[in-house]
Amino acid sequence: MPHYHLHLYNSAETHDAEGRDFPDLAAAKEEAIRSSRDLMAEHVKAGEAVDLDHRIDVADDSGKVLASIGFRELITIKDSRVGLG
Amino acid sequence: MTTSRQAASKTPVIAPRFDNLCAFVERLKARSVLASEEQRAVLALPVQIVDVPAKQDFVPLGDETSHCCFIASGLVARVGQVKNGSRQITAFHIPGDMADLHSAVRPVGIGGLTALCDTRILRVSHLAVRLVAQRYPAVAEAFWRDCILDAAILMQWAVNVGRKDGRSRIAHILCEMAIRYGRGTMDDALHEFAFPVVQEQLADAAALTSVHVNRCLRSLRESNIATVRNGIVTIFDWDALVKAGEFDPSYLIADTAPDRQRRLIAE
Repeated sequence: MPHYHLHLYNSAETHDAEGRDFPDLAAAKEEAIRSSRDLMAEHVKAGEAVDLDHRIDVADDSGKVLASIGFRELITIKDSRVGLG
Repeated sequence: MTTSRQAASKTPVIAPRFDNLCAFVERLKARSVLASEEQRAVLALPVQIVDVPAKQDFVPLGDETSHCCFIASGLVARVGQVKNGSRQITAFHIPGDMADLHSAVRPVGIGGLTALCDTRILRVSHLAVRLVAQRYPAVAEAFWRDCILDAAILMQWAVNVGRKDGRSRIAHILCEMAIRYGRGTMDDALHEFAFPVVQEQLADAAALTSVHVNRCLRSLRESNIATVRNGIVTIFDWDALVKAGEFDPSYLIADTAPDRQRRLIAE
């Protein structure tokens, strides 16, 4: 199975030196999406700001970034007061 | 900081490896008084060596077994699984543990066992386990206590994953393993030991994503509390790790005091 690294870029950079095996890139991206949502949820629960500029990069063993998952693309916020009205 | 980390790693860390059931007898003796004849009877249990490669289930979920599994070397996880295939590790079993002693009287329906790295198992037939318990009530009592230790650990794990934040969950697991890999007491908790897990497995044990585990480990590392690197745990600040994990070792050690070990059933 191919090996991918999920590097987290939020308030600090968390480099994933160890990485893990995934069946394919799609599965690695799915895990990156799940992890991003999980981290955003943690921030909401802790009463901290969710920074939509944060992201998780999926890289191969050589360090080449194959996909970048931005938090912005993973969250929908509804608010009638700032809606299109 | 870096210097102290390197200094701590000078002596090689050797993973435990056993050839017989001596370590299991020691585990029983930590909680129960066994006469030498009773100890010999446990040691004399016939075993069958089985080598299990990493990532292989050797007690598949839902299967009925006919033997108990003593961990001679390596690392084992008890696992449960949900519909989408994701797994929750409900216990780590380390060399010296009889991972499923309870199966001698309940051979089905308590999750599966999987090897997290290359692992050697000594299989002991249920029949032999039941016979030694039947012949020696003190051994039966010791087995019962041993099963309850596993239940106590499981209960603490439910609290850990249910009510603590990620960093605290990881810190708790590291505290527990430091005591279990050591001699089972708070004072003898190891500050450096082999614990051959990868982030993904810690994630499955702590009900976190591996990215979150990585972030928690970074936090523990940057606070100069502990590191987990290439299957080696190094603890720089035990008191801080205990605090971070809200770790109270009672569930592991409450029954190891000499006055708690007296025989309650056996004469």
